[in-house]
Amino acid sequence: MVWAGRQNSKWSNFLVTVLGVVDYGAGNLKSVVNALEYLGTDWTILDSPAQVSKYDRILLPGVGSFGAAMRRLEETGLRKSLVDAFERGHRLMGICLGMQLLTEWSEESPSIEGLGIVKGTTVRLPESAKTTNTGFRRVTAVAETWSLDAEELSRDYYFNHGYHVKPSDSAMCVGTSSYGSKDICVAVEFENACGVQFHPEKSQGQGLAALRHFALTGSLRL
Amino acid sequence: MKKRIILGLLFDGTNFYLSRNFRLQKLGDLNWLQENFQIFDLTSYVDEIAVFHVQRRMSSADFAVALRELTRRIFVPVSVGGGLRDMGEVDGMFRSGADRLMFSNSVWGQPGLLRATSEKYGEQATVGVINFMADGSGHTAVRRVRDGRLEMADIDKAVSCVQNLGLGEVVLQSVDKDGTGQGFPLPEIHKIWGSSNIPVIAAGGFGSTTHIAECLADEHVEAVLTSNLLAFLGDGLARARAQAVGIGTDMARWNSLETFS
Repeated sequence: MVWAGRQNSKWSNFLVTVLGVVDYGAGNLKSVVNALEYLGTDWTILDSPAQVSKYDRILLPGVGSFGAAMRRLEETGLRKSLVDAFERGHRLMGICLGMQLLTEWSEESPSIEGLGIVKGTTVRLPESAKTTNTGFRRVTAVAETWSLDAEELSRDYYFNHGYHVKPSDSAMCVGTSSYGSKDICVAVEFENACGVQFHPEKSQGQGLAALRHFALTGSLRL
Repeated sequence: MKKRIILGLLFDGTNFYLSRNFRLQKLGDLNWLQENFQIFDLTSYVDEIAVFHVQRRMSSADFAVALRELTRRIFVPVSVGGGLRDMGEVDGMFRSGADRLMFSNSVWGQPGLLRATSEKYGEQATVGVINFMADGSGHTAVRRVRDGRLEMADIDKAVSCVQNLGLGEVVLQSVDKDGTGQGFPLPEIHKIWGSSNIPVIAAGGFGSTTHIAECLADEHVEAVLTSNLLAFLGDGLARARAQAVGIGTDMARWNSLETFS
């Protein structure tokens, strides 16, 4: 399937600088696409492994469960192509479940391996708080990052999740948010991959700014 | 935790409606709504939109197309509810702009559908709806449709059922107050929901900014949902937001979308 916005097919044989949005059969793909359309960003849906290697910047969106999403990535061959793209230095950004998929595994589906791009795990939200974290929450940047502007990170973004990422090295955590009485990691960066637990495409103006920032980042981090 | 204001839209795929005690009154189509209510501007004042598929004259597939058009310019989360029957329809809604799905009668009639939705999309993507009302003998009951028939059911069993399904949130909707503008019956939440840790959205009866602000201030309430467009014309929801902040409720702040237009 070729589903794209403002993309010129003449680039099909080259590494293209438009944004590739991974479609793994679950998730709020339409919401992400709506935001990219609004921003006037070039984008293409990626639903086959051969497409992935052609895109410099790749967005892994997400609403879904960890196990179902990983199974789908495995079945379609997208899993290997995403890991390969990361290893070749392509920029990868996971949103919500997409961020969790970057990790090695999740308590949500303990028998299923994640992409393993970000060393760490995805764990249940701390007990004693609500079962899910839904709504706008303040995010505090704890490190400068190439993927998201530090100023943009210290704002309110929309969250909707029951699990969160726990990177094995705290230096990978570039943004935190309070949940109950604890701070949880909600933005990670590792080499050329990054992820945010919130939904930039659903976070009003500041979310769109964060998304645009990633979409417009032209060079790879060395 | 930041509290939320959710704007409910009763939509048949073509026209939008108002509701009073669950009886619908047609307003007009999207153009009419934008012209008279500046619906897309209203989304700047709310944390979320909830779209309820009412009337069910349109197929789920056609409704999904309409939903796609409606959500094209909405950059807050969109929850969708109303008569979803199978995973094909569930998938269709998620692919058409829904971020979460709301289930009411399916909670009792098709718990398997809720579990399948949770399994595929995560429990945070499923919301249960309990429509409660006085049963005529001084007790609170659930109003539900089961096997095509409207019936009243035991509220405690209903609550227990919802809690066991592992849903992300639950909407407690007052049928008696729906569309009246008389305010939400807050004490009912305490009686019905007790100490459950599933977040609660209060719905039904909001007619003033004070109603919304006072309800949001309650520790049991995570969000309020109003479909009463007439009561919050113009900047009504912005004022409700400001009033909530004024009495100490933590609400989100955001940048204007104008930056990108």
